[in-house]
Amino acid sequence: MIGLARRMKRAGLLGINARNASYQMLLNDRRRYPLVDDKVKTKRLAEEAGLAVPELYAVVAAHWQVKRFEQLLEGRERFVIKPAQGSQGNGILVIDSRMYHGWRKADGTMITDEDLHYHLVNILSGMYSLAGQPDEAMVEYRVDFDSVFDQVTYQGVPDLRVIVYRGVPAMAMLRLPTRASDGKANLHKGGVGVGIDLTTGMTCGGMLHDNPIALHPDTGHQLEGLQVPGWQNILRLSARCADLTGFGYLGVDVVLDRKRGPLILELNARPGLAIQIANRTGLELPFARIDAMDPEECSLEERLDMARQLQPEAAMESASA
Amino acid sequence: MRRLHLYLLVFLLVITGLGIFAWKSQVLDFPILPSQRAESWRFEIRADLELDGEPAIFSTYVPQTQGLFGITDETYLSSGFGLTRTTDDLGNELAVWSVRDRSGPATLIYQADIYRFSSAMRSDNPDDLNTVLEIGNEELGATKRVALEQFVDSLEQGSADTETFLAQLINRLNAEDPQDYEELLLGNEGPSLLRKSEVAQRALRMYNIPARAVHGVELGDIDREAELYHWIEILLDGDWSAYSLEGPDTPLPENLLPLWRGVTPQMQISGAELSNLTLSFAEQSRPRISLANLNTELEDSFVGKLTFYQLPVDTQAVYRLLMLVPLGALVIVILRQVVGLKTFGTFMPVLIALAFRETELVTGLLMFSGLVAVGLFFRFYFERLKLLFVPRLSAVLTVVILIMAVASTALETVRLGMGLSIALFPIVILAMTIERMSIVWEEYGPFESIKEGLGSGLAAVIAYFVMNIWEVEHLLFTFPELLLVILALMLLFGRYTGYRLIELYRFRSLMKRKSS
Repeated sequence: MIGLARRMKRAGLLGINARNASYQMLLNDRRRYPLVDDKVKTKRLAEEAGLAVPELYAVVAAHWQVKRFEQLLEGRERFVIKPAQGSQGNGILVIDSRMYHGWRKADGTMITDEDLHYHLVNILSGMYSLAGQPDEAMVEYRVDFDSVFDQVTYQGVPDLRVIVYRGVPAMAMLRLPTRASDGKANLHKGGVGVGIDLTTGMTCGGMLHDNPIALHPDTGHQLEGLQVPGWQNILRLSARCADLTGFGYLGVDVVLDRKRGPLILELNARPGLAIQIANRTGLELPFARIDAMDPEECSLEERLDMARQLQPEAAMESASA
Repeated sequence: MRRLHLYLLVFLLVITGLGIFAWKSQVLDFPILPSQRAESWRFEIRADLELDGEPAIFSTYVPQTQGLFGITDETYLSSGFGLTRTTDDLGNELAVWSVRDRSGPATLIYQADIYRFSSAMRSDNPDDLNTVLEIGNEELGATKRVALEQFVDSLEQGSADTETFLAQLINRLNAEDPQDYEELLLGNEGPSLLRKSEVAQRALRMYNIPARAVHGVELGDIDREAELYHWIEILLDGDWSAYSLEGPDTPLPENLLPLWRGVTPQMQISGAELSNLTLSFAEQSRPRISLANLNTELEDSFVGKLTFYQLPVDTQAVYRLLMLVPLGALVIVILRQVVGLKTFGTFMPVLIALAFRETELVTGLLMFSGLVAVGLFFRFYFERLKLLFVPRLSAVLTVVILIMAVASTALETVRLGMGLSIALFPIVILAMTIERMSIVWEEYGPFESIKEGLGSGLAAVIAYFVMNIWEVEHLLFTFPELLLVILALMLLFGRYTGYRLIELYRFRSLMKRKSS
């Protein structure tokens, strides 16, 4: 067992304890956490900096607003409701269209007005927030996601996760919903994670429930070899998010809209470690290379170059696999 | 820098904790194991007097805390007598009984508990050295005085220093062929130890060695009529050392309890007849902690006084439990940081484990899962009523308490005493657990929810097994300073950056690919 741990260390695999103690705690200033934990704040920050985000329609902050929900929407029928301080995709409701006395959800099922109001009230009372404190519900643009990943998606929205370390994108993956994940792209709910070559934006590897896979479990399509469109743009967007928030260890979630291109969905100051399994390589390898280059002294473009040069090693890993 | 700081802090905490622990266990005799007993005796002096109406005074020596022995719980049974305690010139303790006019038989009793320390704590104070030397041999008659001088002269000729003089002395006291002057001092045949001790003291003093005859009792299992034993102490290099008079190099018996020193008789009486004077003792079983308390009192040790044993008994019971919580927390730290076990709520398993201690494990587990199951059922039922979060949580809490109340009364009729135990479950925490479990149930499905529920149960059982070790409970209660060591361990785990055990399992697929 010690031998296994030693081999994992050599492979640069990051464990949760090391992530917390050596990276998250040292590089992420606690006082800035509200910037990423409260999605309304993140969105406003990104909008001010001119970064593309899904448009915010309304914020429901108090119980009396729940009854006036429809007026707030100004007639929109396609939207997403999220708890502002939710985590791990909990409490997200995706609405497709208005029905008689109710709504149609993205998965085709109906909910009544009463159900929707109850959901909003639950969000307000903090049922989905990190520590149970009162929360706000935000209503935003429902992403019309790019069809490039249709073959490897079972309902729901695929998104991209980029880990930015000291301002340099260090690892990335594509997250795909499955039937089991209920349309959500969260890996621990049964979503599929696929590694991405940082240089080219081509997918490689693939994992489900911490196990390597090659095919999407629902569509049966090959996961490797897909090209992420606008990849350089996504890298730039991610690095700018890190500059904006000042986090040294940040997870940036990006979604691809058909018309608007890459949009920042949310930021995460405690990004998970499954990305290592999706890419079949450890996070500490790129981290060590970035550490050697003093990234804080470099311009955005230099850092993006750095990110593109990180890849050969990881590419080699996946090639040999 | 940060590392060094942490290690220094940890080092300090461990040193402080273990230092106090060592001091208390080794010097103050605090018991490391709950089963440790103190060596202890009940000691009694009994005097039967015959009074005839005259004012009467009776005095006798009583033991005092000194050297290896501590005296507590002294009681005097002497109806109608006045009692005073005095200390004589040589530092001996005397009990003096007196009565003005009374006739007929009377019994005076002195009783005390005697503890033997593991090491001689209170060394005798040689302050009384001057008085020792002053009290000479004046009261001896002229012939005996001459005999004593001859005796000392002969010893002096056959010796070079204090030690050889002492050896010579003991030799001659036990000699088969006594000289005339020796016979004059010791009596013709088979001189008693008492006599020898008197002569030894006198001879040594004449030779200018501070010495004193000691009279006491050899403590054993039990003796209803204990005999006095006599030996000699001399001041060597600032310390009193004791020697047997039964022969050269004869070791002294163990557990010699000194009663008085000098050449005075055991008791003094006036105005009455003494018909009987007996000493008796019986070994008794006493918890080691009473010895520690006695020690603390004698040492006037601040550290020793910081003990829970000074608290009222019901408060003690609270701290017995409270001291275990950090230990349970340490177990959780290890389970979560090193193993990677998932539990509901950080310290919920510790509180559940505390409840298990009262209910016993199997019943506790059954009760716990029963309560959670019923609570979950009601949680889902309330969910259908579309209740708000806080009222719903409160409703679940109320239902949990209701179930507990019903279960308590039901159990009480079945098995006495079972009823109370269920009430010990931390209900608020239980209600929160139910709420969190049901959210996980909805969001991640029953599998994940039950998995985390089982994780919590497992953590509680492990914490229970660690916290239920009686020796551990005793250790933490008796030596609360060990919490500093636990604290140090927690600080160390706070900077543990190694893999968790479940990560070895989680990332195993990657390693397989690597090695192939």
